[in-house]
Amino acid sequence: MITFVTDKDKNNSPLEDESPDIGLSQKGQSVEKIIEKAEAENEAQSNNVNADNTENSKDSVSQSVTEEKISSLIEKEFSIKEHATKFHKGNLRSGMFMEYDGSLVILGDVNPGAEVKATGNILILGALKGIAHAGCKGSTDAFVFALNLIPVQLRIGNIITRFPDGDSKVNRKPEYAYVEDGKIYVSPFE
Amino acid sequence: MGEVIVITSGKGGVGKTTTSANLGCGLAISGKKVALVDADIGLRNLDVVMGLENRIVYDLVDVVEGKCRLKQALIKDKRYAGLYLLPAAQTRDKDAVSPEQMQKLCENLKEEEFDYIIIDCPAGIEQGFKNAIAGADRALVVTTPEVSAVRDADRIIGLLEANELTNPSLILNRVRPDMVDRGDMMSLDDVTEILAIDIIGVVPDDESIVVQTNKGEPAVTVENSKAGQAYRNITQRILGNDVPFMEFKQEETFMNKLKKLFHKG
Repeated sequence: MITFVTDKDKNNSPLEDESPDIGLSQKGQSVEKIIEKAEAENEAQSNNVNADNTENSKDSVSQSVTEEKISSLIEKEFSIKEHATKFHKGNLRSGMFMEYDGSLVILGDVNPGAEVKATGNILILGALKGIAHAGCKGSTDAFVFALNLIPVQLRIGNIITRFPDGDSKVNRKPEYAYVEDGKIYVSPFE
Repeated sequence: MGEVIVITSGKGGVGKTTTSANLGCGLAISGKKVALVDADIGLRNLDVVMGLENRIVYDLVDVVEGKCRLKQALIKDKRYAGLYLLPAAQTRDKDAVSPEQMQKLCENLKEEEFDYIIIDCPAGIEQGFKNAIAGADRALVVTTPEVSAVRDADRIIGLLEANELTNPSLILNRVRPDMVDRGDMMSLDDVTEILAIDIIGVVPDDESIVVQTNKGEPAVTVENSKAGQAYRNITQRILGNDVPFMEFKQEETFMNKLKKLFHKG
């Protein structure tokens, strides 16, 4: 099992309620938007899903409370689980949609208007400019990685976020997005 | 053997018809036998741009339905010997023709010994688009440096690739070099970064296009038109010649020089 240790990210504490309707910053310092309604609705659903597929995400609702407490004390680690993985070579253009029960690796760009969806993780060895939804069955363990992470919208599990409006050409470094404390964070991949 | 080239874009109003007319004329000037096919059934206007509207007797739908022979429907251009136009029907709609029928039509045109068959594709991704690309060997995608047009072009390239028309070439139309310099308009690099396909030409925004289109004489025929020069270059690239891309540096007028001097002072 491969593990990411993200102790650095602890410094990037969220700015509470500063601008609640902006998605999150590109450098992972701040703000996030949780669609709380959607989460509440999905909670019941994701529990059902988890009953069938317990391996995928640990009975999140009951455990997550205690887990969060622990994670605030110790460095949080999140794991990459074993998944079936689909590889796709080539760009995904506007209007194209790719879904997979497992993890997805795209060797190319995901252009604006395109959408990728996976029950596991999503790795894009190119630019993500469209929409990505990792852990689409409710697993917030999943992460999204891209060489150039500038999506229109990013979804992990049942959390939806959008990137701030403005110039999207600044960022040129590989980054990954993950969920912590029910919020989506973006960190540089080093 | 002839080559069927479809001119497409997705978004409307980016200059598909103007491009078709100019490239058709350009190729004809170079001595090729060219057929221009208007696939925009119900909204035909290639004939108007070519100034051949008053000569239409039969149209594409008549040919497909067997009401006339192909040769009867082909209108010979009034200026260039090797240039012919197959007009679209105005009173019918896109469903009057099927992709199979278009494919057969393209085969028949090739048998007429045309060197190039240029199909003017309608806007959109529905039946008309499917018809237009059915018989094509090669696609040219026209876009303008606007996010909406580039987005649609991206969609179109995806659909072309799904229909085995790989390696389409891009024409970036209506570029305003002064705005690009100021950073107010997407540059060629910005567009190619998203679309990632070969570029075959950049056409500057030019008043002469409007003037010539309204006259029914494509700008490619005008010697001192910048857009006309850009289309002549694209024509040469279609013919397989390597032509350097145009420089769009604005010529410094006397007034501009004076202004600069004034600002320095």
